[in-house]
Amino acid sequence: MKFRKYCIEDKFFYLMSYIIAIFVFVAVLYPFIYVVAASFSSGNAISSGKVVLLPVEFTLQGYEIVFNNSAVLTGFLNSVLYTVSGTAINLVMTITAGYCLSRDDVPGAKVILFLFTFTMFFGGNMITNYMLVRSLGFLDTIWAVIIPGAISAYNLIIARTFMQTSIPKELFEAAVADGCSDIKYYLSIVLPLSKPVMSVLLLFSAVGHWNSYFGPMIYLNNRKRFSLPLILKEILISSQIDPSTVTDPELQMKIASMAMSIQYALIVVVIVPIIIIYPFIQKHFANGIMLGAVKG
Amino acid sequence: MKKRQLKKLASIILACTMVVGIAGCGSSPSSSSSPDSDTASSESESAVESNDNAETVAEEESGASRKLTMAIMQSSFVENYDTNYLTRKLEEDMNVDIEFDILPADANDAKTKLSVMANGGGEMPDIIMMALGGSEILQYGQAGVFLDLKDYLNDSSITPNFNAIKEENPEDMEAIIKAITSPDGGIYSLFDWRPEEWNFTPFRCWINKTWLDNLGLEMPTTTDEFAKVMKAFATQDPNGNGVQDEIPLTGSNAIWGGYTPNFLINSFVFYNGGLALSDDEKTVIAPFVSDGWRDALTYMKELCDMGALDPAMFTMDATMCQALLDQDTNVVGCVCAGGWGYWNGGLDSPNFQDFTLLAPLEGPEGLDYALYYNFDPGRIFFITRSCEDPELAMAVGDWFLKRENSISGRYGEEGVDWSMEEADTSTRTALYAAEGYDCNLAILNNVWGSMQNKMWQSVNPEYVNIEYYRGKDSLAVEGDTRDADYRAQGYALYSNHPTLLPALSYTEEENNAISEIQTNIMEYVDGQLAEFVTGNRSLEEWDQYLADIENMGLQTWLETAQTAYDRIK
Repeated sequence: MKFRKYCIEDKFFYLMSYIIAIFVFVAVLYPFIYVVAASFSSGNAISSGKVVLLPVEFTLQGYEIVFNNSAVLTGFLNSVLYTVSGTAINLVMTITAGYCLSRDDVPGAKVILFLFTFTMFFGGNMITNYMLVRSLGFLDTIWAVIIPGAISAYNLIIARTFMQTSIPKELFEAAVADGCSDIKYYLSIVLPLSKPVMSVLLLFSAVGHWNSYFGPMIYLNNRKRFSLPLILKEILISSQIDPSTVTDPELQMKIASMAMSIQYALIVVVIVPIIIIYPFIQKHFANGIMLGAVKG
Repeated sequence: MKKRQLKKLASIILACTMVVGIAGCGSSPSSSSSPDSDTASSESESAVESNDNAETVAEEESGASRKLTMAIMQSSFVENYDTNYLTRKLEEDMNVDIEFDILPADANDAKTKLSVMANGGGEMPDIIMMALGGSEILQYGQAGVFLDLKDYLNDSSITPNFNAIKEENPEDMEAIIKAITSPDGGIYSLFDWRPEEWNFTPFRCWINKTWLDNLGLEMPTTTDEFAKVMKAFATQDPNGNGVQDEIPLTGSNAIWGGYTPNFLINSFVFYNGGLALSDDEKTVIAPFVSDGWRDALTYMKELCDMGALDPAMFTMDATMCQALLDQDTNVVGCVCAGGWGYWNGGLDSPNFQDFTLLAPLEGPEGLDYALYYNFDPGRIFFITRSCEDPELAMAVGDWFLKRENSISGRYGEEGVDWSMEEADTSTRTALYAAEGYDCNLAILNNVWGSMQNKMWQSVNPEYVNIEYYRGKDSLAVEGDTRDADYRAQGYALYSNHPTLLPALSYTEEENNAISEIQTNIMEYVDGQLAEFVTGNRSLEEWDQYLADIENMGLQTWLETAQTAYDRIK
């Protein structure tokens, strides 16, 4: 056994690490298992706290209602649209800018980079952002959701550091010596070599767009353009009763019992796409972040 | 050198075009998936190809039907606001075209969005349809974001339905005017007037009748008798399973009307969650520093000490409390809850069958008040500074106050979902039939609580006189009048209360002065109640408790409340 070769202190250390890791793992996993179990349970079983690990009073009613709800479907499609287009814009902008700033022969690169980093610490507040979006005519359009966060300074720095450190300058000189143009170098050498960092940025921005709530909430007015988190929040809200703000709690109670049975199904519907994407990117994921971190 | 720089420039330009190109690709699905229905009316929707077209169409139509934008707080149970029955009826009757901006369902988010809209300058929707609190309304009103509606409300040619209330029910009108007038004298909102007695006294106590019978006990009527019953519940194994698993008295702050101390306190001093009025109705007083409060604490501590009052009631959330009520063997002897919805299966729940309503108990001083809430109409419907035709917007708001429309806003389509026709009402039983009310509103089809396209889930101004609640169809299934019976019983048992302190509206200054004090004191009072009752803090420290509250600014609160009360008296 491999374990034998460790001395007693190490064994103890590993044992404790595993115990703590398993504990953390269970703590993180349990809520998810609960949500999945609850999504297949009846509303009454959930509200009386009978659901622990496995579905109680198995039913598909929650999913039935969720998939028959037209708002959920449009919300889902909108979310896909915002995520795909928003992520595409993020990637193109960030990688291009990151590449330009990674080259040390770009005049003023430092100033530009400073301006980018400046936004990480100081930003306009909600109202000035709203005024900007309104003046651009973006209100209640897809642009309001995908343009304001087109470049995140944090992602930009990851991209830049990656290209600076893991793509040797000599490669550029060699390519130029062979008669390669800047564009061609960027497209056929830098981009293929940047796959790890691209997959990291892809996941970052895709998850960001998929879960994005505040921007869409403020900028979108038409229900046809609502993304899934807005619809989700709407349904979660109707399952809660705050007697102090409601004039007619008895009526709210009726709504709450219905919302109870569908909220968990909806949460599952929201989480699943991200879980599906994750394994495809995961292998690049740790790799990509580490590259930026260790060498940067 | 020059050549290289040129190349660089070219590469930058190319990169830019690439970005624009890809961004352009992203846009095409958006314009096809959302056909800009906001600018086009429903009839012309299909004909619309692009934004420009839509605007011209809308302009051409504006002669025929006038246009208003309305920001409404959405409900996920409304299928489609544009094709909704209530929307269509409103548009038809008033010859308007309503265009909806959706506000989030979460009240705090909706308020954030409203404040961003208001402070971000630019165009706002003509009408805001959401409930707001007094201080927010005052703030927006004074900033000129909301228009003062007073002149329109006084003009019966614009607001015929509002002025009709004045004629028919002057008492209601007086209360409404009091409630919607801001401290600066402006009226910035309409209201939803939907008084239902069942909702005024949610702190109903349910006692286990089966256990009383098992132990041969009488229904308690005084606090002393109640304590004896609780002691018996705790010690004599009333559910007969040989195990001491009984929880004689429980409740939860997280369920509607579920905070049991509120029920008990009112046998000692009247309390409905804040300040109250003195017996001569002149002074504002704080019940939670009175001797009655102290006696109530002593009494509850006794109950706790004898193992009757479940200390978990101070910490349980709704799920835990419901789990307790739904145990296979009933373990609960007495619980406060607004309704039977907290038992799994409601009226048909096997455990609920054991319970019956307990009347407010008579305290040592002879008080037997029920916790009674003021009916305080919500303030909903505002016209913003961007509205070009406030008279039209006002007329639209007034439309909802017509009885039929108000009822439609809650019960759906007239003639299909509800009816006031003699033929329908005469065969039905009124909710308060036991009190001598005849049915005047028949519910043919219950649309509340399910996905529907008939109304806006009561997010609209409303005026329904209480007669239409008492006379409402009890929805009794053949021979099953339990719902109506409980309501009648609740009405009979829980009506004793002193004159209530009306809802006070504060000026901005007053509000700033007391809002923090108010929150602090109420939090402290609730927390200390649990401490005293569970014995963590001795009642000998009562004077210290009084001093603490005094230091938190009780005097300021009382004085400010007194000023506000004197203003509306």
